[in-house]
Amino acid sequence: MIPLVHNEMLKMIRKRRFTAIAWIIAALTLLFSYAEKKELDTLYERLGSDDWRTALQTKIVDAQNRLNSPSLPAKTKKNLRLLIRQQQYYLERDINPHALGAPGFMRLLLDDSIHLFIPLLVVVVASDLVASEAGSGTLKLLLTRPVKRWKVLAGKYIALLLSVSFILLLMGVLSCLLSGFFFGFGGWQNPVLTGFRPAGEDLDVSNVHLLPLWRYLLFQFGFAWFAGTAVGSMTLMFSVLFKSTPLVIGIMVAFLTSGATLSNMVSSWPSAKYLFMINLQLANYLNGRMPPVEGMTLSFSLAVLALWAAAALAVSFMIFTKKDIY
Amino acid sequence: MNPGPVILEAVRLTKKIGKREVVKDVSFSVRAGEVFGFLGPNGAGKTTTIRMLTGLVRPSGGRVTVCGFDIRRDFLKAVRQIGCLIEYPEMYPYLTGWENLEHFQRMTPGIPKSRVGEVAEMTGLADRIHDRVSTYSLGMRQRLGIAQSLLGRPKILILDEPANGLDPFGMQEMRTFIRRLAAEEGVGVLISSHLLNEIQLVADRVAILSDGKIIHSGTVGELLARKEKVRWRISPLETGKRILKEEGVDLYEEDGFLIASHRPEKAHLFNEKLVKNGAQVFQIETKLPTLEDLFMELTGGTSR
Repeated sequence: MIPLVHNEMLKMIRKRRFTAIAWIIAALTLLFSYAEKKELDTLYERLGSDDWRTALQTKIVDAQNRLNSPSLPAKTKKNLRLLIRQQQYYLERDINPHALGAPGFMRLLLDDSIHLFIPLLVVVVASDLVASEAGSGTLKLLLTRPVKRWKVLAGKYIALLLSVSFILLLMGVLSCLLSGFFFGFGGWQNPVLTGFRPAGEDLDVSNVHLLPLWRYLLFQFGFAWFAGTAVGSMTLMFSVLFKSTPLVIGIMVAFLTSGATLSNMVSSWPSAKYLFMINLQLANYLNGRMPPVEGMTLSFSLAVLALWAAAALAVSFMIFTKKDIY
Repeated sequence: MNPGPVILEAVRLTKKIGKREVVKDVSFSVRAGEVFGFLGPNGAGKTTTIRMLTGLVRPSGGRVTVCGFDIRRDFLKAVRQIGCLIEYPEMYPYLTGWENLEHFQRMTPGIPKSRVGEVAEMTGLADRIHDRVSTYSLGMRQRLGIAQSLLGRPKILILDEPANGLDPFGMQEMRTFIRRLAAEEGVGVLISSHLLNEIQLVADRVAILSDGKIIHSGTVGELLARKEKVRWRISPLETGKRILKEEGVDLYEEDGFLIASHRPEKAHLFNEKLVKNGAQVFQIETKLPTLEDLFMELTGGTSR
């Protein structure tokens, strides 16, 4: 098995996929860091002070004002209310939720990349695992070796798991180093509150507890790994089914972006919660935002993702071991 | 040549795709040390047959054995004996030649690392082996493909249209290489092509495939003898035509030549008569049949 994984990793590295991914992450981190920095500067300038309590208070007032606008959709209102409650909670406990250092920035970045950005990076490496070899014909050479077909695919899958891990490592290291230039490297021990649970109109705070930021980040990376692996498994299936890498990428991008859009639309369509792409927003369960469909929980989402991934893998292996290669 | 043991055997191979039978009841065997030509036009079912031999395509009926191992039931043992190059020389262009070979060496248990250097040497790639394949010419990729197929010291080498895209010099080199492998190492070689002259120059035995069926098989000499013709260049043409016709020879005119259907051994008799009758004979040569001619005859169509 090790030689097979070795082969797959070699091919991935020599195709310079990881180099491309590293550049994308670096560019995005710089972009976001700069934007975040600008926003903070503007905020503090407007307040005439750099005291975070005043800043947070101002934010709460801003949000309350927005809440009074009659044109706001119900869902946004709900989320806004939850946000205000959270911010008040932080204020009461004298904890700065936006203390920004590199780890604070990483937390913001990950919150927004678990359901789309990281899965897209995974698609970049997973889409051509099988499709490109079928398209260029090297698959024939691969499958005329004295190796069982399922082992060949298993080698590719393990390489994919390693790649997901490596992408997250790149993401962690690069976003930490680059944002550190803007915000400094401190704040790993900063307390973060987690465990907010939306309950109807209100916020259930019975489970709220403090986490040091570094542990919160570990959770985020764990969720990102899970989501990435699930997306990778789906991509592998399409890569087995089709010969064209662009087609596989197209399908997966459609999948993922539709998930991001649908999440805002399905609050009144409860059975949508069984869809794969609706469940990728795992960050919600950490930061206490509304899940797309009421009543979805972390374990529910993890289970749905795991089931879809397992089904995709089953289909991949069944087809790959049986199909005629022309 | 003494015939070696049978290494590859196909028995009543059949493949249906949907309702269409693309390979029908194909049987043949390849022995150690012989070059077996697999001849047929594009779309005759050569490629599908070869894919069944290598385990890439599951036959709808019949079986394939390699050194006594069934390709489906004993895939690992059977395929271990096969080296193959299927269609275009497909390799990973972003890896070096060496890395490509190592990649496949890692996949086959029992091949030492040193074998990579050996096959590179054998195929004359040694000085470019550490360059990326994307910088290789088609001929070099072809050699790399062959090098790859030799990694596991196969007992049978399966080459699907190996001359595709090769220049004449490359083809000549390839033929010499294949003949040497068969003669010196006792490798059985199965080589497919849609070009008769290519097979004729390298193969000992040949099977002709048309529309999924083997319509002829035998030694190459036998096959060519069936449809051999003699090409005459005579002046004046009309005299030549008249005299040969008097001798009862079937003939027709082509590009100023007379193409006559008679045994080449009789040429000197006709020549004597022609000269006596005042015709000038400039050229007599045997004309090998084209694949099309053979097909016409074998499939019962009318030939010129």
